[in-house]
Amino acid sequence: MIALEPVKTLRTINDLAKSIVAESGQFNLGVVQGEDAQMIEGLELARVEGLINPILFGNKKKIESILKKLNIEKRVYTIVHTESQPSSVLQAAELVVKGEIDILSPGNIALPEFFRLLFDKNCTFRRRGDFISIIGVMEHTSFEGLLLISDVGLVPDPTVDEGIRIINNATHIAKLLGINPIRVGLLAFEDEMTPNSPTTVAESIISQFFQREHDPSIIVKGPIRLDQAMQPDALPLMPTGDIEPGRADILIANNIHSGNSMYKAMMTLCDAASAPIAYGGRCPFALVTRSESPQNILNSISLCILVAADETDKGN
Amino acid sequence: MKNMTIESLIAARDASSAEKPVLATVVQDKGNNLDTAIEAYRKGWVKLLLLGNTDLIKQKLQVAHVDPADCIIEQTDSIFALLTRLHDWCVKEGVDVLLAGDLSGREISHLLTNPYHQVTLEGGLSRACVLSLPNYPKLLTIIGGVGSDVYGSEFLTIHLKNSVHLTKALKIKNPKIALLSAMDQVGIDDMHTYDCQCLINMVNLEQIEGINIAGPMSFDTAVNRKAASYFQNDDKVSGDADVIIVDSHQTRSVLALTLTCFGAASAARVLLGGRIPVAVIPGRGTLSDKIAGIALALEMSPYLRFAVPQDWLSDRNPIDYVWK
Repeated sequence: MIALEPVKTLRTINDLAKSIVAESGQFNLGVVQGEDAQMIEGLELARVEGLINPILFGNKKKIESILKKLNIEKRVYTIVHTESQPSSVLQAAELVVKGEIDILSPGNIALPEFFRLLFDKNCTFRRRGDFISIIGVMEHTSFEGLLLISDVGLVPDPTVDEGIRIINNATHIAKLLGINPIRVGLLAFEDEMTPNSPTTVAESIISQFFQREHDPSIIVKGPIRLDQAMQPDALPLMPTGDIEPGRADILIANNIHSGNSMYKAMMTLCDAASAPIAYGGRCPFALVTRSESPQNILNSISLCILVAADETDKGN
Repeated sequence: MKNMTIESLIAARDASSAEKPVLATVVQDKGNNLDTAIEAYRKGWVKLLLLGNTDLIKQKLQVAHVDPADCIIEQTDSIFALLTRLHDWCVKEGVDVLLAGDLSGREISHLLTNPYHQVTLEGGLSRACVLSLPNYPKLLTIIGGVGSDVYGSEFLTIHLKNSVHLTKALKIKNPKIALLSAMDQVGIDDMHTYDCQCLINMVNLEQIEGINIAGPMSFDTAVNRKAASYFQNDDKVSGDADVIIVDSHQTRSVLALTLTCFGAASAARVLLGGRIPVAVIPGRGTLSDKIAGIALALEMSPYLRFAVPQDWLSDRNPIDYVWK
């Protein structure tokens, strides 16, 4: 389901998720290592709104004690007891493959470890050609509408090919949010390609690649500085056909450190709200960092519902 | 004592009645940064030394209603003569602060790092962005490389040394320095986290002494106590960093611009590594944004002139290690 009008707020994503659930029923959300109070607080918000049916994998005693501490009835949560992290990941992944879980989420487990176990050769989760990247959908008072930033925590040092796939994942989410045309800025230190900077050379190649694709709905410019990309006439610089210039809708960081720092800086020191999502695999992943509020977990789950519903429409 | 901010740095300059320091810049063809230099002169912060195309300099000064006779202006034609004259100014004639002006990054780098010019402090350059934010109780400095994609523990060491000088110049007591990464642990496929851990090991082996440093750590662990408490580290840096050292100039630029564009941060930028600080002027922004770099450089200048290079990890007698 693609939004007909551009989604301008995270609240609207939540409303869209509610309307999808009203039509097709609740989504099953599995949390690996569910003994995580912050995650359960967010899950509870989504459960109370009737969006999800939560399934927690992990140490049953610890999970029940957290539920008790948070004054949540344990019978409303399905708890699958597991002895270890790998066991939690494998059991949850198995249910995703069987189609019994629609959305997956890492709880009290480090993100690199979570994905390492998920992509292990013993796990059938990964399909050939899957490429997962993390996208942060940001809302902030300094700009109108939403801003997507990627990759914020999964691809260490993207090659040109990986850069293109990161953009494809982000533009897919932007399309679901009704953004059209989609303006993409490839962030760098400077606005022009310099031969002794591999980052700007790679970004210039990616920019050329998308120009060659001739897709009028996706405008990619790079390298570009962050402040320039947020100017109201940044992309395209000259109007292309009917396309009026506008600020970037998607910012692509050159590596994991700049993407992750940008996202966390916005969350910790700039009072932004977000809906982070890992996209590109068998199912969408609801994510959250340690410093985020339960509301952001709800936002992330709502966005995952939009993506999961779209995947179901396509018969995936 | 009230915490220092970028605004208080500017106010301190406005209120200063000490003898005016000297700001030097090069004007060859475009007159880059000259308007900012003139603004600092108008505010009574500095005396101006201008080098390059005298006709252009006089023309620009007249347009700005500044009497050329109040400034020292010298004609030079070749880049070699220009750098030699700048060298003389920096070493003999007491230039306090430099502005790059029409000099390229490569030329400035040559001036500050070539031992011939005798203005080298640590043998490598770092670019620092000092920020004051409404949501952070003290100055936050982001330090990274300059100009091209350079990585590795060697460069992190240079940035660390320059960070120590910056905090000393700004009189920050017991500075807390964080080595930034996307994750809070060494990643199998992420060389930068290895480099961070390498530095931390040097601290543990007392090859680097007398500083509070921790890493690799992500941005929220560095500046947010709640996020830091998750790891229950006993280091003093987590959640309360003064300085954040980043992997590359790309990350420094993105992070600094994120905080200025979305976090209402005031920023002052400076190039470190030489005995003369180079104020960095952003291409965009208001005049007060631009002049902040000069205020910061002027604040640092008295310290840097007589700073003692950090002796760890450089030119050390191997016998020291044996005795340790």
